[in-house]
Amino acid sequence: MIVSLALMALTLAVAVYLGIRARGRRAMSLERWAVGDRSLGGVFVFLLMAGEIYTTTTFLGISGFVYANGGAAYYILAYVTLAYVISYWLLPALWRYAKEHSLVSQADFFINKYDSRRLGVVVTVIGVAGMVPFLVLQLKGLGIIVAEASYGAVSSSAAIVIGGVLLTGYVTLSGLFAAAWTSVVKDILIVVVVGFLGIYLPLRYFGSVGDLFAAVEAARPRFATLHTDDLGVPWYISTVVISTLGFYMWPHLFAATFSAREESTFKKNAIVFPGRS
Amino acid sequence: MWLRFILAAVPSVLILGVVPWANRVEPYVLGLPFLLFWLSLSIVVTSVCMAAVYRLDPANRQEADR
Repeated sequence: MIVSLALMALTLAVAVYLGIRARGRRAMSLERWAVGDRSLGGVFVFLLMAGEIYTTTTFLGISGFVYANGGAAYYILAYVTLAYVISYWLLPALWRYAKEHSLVSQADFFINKYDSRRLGVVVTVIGVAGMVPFLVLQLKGLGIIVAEASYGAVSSSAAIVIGGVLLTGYVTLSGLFAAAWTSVVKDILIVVVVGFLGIYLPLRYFGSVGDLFAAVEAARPRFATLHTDDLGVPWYISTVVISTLGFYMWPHLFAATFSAREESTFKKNAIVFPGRS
Repeated sequence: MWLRFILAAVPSVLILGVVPWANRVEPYVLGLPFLLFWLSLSIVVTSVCMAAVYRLDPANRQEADR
């Protein structure tokens, strides 16, 4: 318990330190706060976007979904990959327009492009409305993870308050740079942990990845496919299509695009990103 | 000229179009149930397609010349 608490405290401390340090010494402006002065290089944009795509849900929600529904969870791999294909054409165009007009948010884009303040308001309201359940989900997940990992020493509510306050604090101070820097830590941890679990668990408990899936098949035939009527092939196709098309509607992903230094970044990321998922 | 748009459509065909037929456990490939193997392969192919699209895209060639 002490070890897991210490590890969590250390991770939190590093994230907060990076988040605050990310502010830098230069004076803060809205453009700097919201889109990092449009100065992020390829690696940073990659990490920032990865940080915004792979979340608590990746660990908690999806593993729960896999456990309950099996193969249906593949839809996530599918839509994320197809969204990257779209990103090759969508993001450079967005980026160019945003740069020309010095845009800093998703609503800005709609106000400018369609010359309508009202549309901007509608987009903002929908974005915020969509963001609330998203954030509730993330914070709830954070609470569960910390409460479990600390063996109940830190309650779920306490974890959510601590996490929420610190996060709001460093993001208020440093803006997008904070998100980009903490993404670095998060990304390294995610890759290490997922790599470890994905390789270690099957080897330790089943002998090999193949044996793991054979054991699943023996226990629940067809579980690793789209095997139920509710979550079958028609569900898969329609869900993947709608999730792919909606992917860059998220306000944070849409506007994170603006932070890149050059548009070729997105084209290159479209090549690298699918392999990552 | 149209090649890169055809290449860009390949991932959708693999990930959406073929899945009704790939939705099965057997045969296992590399220890993975067939559907998971199929999607993993599709993801790799997507990367390859996008790399090819990148090379074919005239917009990127101009950038390299500048």
